[in-house]
Amino acid sequence: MNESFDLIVIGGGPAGQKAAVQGAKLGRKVMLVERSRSVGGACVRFGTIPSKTLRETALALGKFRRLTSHVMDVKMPEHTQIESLMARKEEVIASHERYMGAQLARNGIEQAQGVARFLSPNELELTDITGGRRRVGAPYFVIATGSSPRTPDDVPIDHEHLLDSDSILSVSYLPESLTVLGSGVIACEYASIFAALGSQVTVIDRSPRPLAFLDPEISDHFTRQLQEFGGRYLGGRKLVNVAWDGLSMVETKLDDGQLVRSEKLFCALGRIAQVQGLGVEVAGIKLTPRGLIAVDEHGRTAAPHIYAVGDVIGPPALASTSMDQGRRAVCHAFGAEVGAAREATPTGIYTIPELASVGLTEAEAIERHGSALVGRANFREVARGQISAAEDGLLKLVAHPDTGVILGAHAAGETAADLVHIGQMAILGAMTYDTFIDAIFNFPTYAEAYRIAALDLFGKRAQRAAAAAE
Amino acid sequence: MHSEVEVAQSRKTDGSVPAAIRSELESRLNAGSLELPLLPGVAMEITSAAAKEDVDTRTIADMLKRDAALSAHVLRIVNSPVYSPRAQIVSLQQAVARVGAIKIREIALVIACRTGVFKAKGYEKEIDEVFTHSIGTALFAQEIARNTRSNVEDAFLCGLLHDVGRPVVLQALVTLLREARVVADREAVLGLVSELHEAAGSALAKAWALPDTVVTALARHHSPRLEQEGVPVRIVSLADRFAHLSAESNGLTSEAVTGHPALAALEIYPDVLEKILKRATVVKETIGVMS
Repeated sequence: MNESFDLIVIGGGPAGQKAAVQGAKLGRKVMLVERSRSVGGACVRFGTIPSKTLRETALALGKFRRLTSHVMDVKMPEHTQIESLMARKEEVIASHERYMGAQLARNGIEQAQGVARFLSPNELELTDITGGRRRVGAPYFVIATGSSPRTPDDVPIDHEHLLDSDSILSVSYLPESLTVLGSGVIACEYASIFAALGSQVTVIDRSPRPLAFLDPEISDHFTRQLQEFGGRYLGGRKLVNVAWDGLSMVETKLDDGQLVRSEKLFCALGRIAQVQGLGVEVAGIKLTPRGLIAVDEHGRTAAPHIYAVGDVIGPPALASTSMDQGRRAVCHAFGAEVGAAREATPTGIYTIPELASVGLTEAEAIERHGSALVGRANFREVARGQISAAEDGLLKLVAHPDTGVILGAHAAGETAADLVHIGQMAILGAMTYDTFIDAIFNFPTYAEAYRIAALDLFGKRAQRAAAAAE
Repeated sequence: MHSEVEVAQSRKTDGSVPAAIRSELESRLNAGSLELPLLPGVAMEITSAAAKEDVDTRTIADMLKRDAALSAHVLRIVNSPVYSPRAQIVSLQQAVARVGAIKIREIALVIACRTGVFKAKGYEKEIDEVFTHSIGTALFAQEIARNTRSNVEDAFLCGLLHDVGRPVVLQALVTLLREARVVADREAVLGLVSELHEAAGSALAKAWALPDTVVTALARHHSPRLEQEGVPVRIVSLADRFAHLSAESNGLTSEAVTGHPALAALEIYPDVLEKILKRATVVKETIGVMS
């Protein structure tokens, strides 16, 4: 017999979880289908949690060296076991799973482990790991199946020498050298971590600079730190050939004639939507030319009772935006009130140093408003930065040229991802930079950077006014 | 320890392994006094050197040179199509430089097992089968690891050594039986070997200072509760089954493995299983090169 629900969510990542919980909060009978045994899906096992755990170790080691003025050095023995640097991984994963599982259970959400396939627009077939099948139906569906690493045909990923973001953390030993293909968030985050731990890292991409969507002053902090770790960024290059030499090294040939040899290679050239086997055509769902699920502003697919959220619909593909999409899609389906979508979505990038951004970059502000007011606070000027031996950092404020209303905040350095939220609130509240000058901040904090940057902006504006008056 | 009298009394048996011999074997195993084969000198040196920092290719090559048979085997394997699709390798240093110290350790272990460990008089055929099966398990473990995004090198090592306890127990048991002048059925002998091989294997891995993952995989690959075991144990358990089935003609099919608890524990869905099974031909060819 066919079991029926009010809502079936396919995929238990951040987007799917929030969609399911929202459905339950609206009093609906909800099922959450997830391929993995535990909620959170692959991202918990292979992605965010393990990589951030490893990053914390890399950060702590770097900080220890700096705080002791390099008197105490921590040298990583060659062939250090990666696993030993992620000692807390299992605890972090376990507590995350416990917490998420409890939340779903508390909300009375039925969880099913398996893969789903549309049999008709309102019916799914679930296949469990042993091949057992059952049918379930619902008037509404949310697809949140996420994405998987894109593997270009000419990069022969073997998960042993040439790895992707699902397998990179399975290497047992810290590689002496690592080639990273790509210059996006995932490429740069892993490049930072491995370089900080002592691998010789070479990042290769077509883009002349890494993290091209960021303000160049911010992304420069990544490149500079990478070089300090002994790594390098080879931008504006195309791949000619990538292959394991059959014995010990991966050889990467570039169009400028360079040959880069490394023990391992990490390919992070984008991600593709996971829709295989879902039977989208049966359900009447349309894909974009890039293979993503096409949706309208409410997250509705071409079949209006089926929504799609998260990575499966493409950029920005951040956990934060995906969760919001999940929540909004379900509210829309059941006609619940939901506020307007926010424009000022922050982006946090867990490279070393941490980078973050919200609102317009300087270039975007100039394009939109003819010019822009810009103020900077270097972490060297911030007492907290000095104390924490984290002087390498920057907060850049972008304001409207006439009104002084804050349009963007961009940060590099310790706590950058947290720091931009102050700028986000200023943008949402349409505040001017004066707010920061008049406000009192705790001392010593990184937040003080806002006051310093606002004063810098004020000073420059005054200079400009004086020059204009002369 | 049991007295000669006790052992002698148990001689009148029906072909089964006398209880006294069995308990003697068990107590030696528990007390850690079971005679374990030494990893042949050079292989041992290479194994520990490969794990050290600042090991250079010359050092490893020099170690290899001291064992002519091992050197010849290394060059043969390194030049086989599995490892070297390109230029021919003529010198040991070249081999080490290109293959890397860790891979050389792997090769040295394979050879050491073949020549030094996998031995038991009167049971040559069985031991040969164990060795071929071990190579098969190692190669299948690699494929499973690749497809579950787990560590491929660890999987190989765990698979290769998973049954290393069998020849160890067999050798000890054959010696004990001979000393007690007891003739036991092959079936009974091999049954006891099966029972004790996990414990003996992990004791050996500990004595050889192999990584903890290997020790655990050797100790627990027949665990009835795979969902509670670590990933390497699950992988070896499944690879073990694959290797057994692939030894039979048309034995390795998805129907034959469906329902294996490791599939659920490793979250291998039918589509991924098909991918792994497609590699069976390559695995068989490689077994030929290595055994």
